[in-house]
Amino acid sequence: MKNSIKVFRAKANITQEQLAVALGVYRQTIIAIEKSKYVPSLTLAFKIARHFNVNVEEIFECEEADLK
Amino acid sequence: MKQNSFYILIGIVVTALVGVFWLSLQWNNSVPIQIGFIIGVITLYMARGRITGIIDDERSVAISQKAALRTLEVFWVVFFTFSLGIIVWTSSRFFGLEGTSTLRFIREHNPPGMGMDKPFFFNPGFIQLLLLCMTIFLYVGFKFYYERKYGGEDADEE
Repeated sequence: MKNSIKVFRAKANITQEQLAVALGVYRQTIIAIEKSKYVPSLTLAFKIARHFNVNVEEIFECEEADLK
Repeated sequence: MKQNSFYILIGIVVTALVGVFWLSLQWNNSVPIQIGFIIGVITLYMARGRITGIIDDERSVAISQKAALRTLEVFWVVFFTFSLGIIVWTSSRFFGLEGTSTLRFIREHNPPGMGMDKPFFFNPGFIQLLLLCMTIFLYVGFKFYYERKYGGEDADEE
């Protein structure tokens, strides 16, 4: 699952650590999500979207391979 | 309760349990250490719930769950195999199959130098403790594996 957290983070000018603190997770989790090595839960995905004031679909993009 | 206070409490409980274990050996009574261990675990479990400042990170929880499940799968197979061996060793006479047990010879003849009279050799309790220690190493190993799989590297800020 692709995501554009890094882009939104850059736009908002916040670090991984700051985002992690805001979401109540470890920085490693943000790193893993950004690198698409970990798919967050729906709750965390909505938290991320809400943090950047956008819809979930604007941050996370589901690929065909994810649906198989 | 702070995390450091919890670690101090672990040290106190473990020290107390070592003392109770020693007393159990002296009294030749297993009940004090068994009850003491359960009380110690319950104490630590309740204290853990009072620790403040812990981040409830879903990725860490997911990794712990996966590692625990894999550890349980491996442990179950090893422990079941060990238990089967003990059942055959101790119960072959009961089932009327004494002649099939290869360990019967060792048990009855007790060849000199095999140390059957020493507490470590073929003592089910010690072997079970060893297997339990093995689960700790297995769990840590699986945790490392899933940490790497789910991108746990502490990379620099990009």
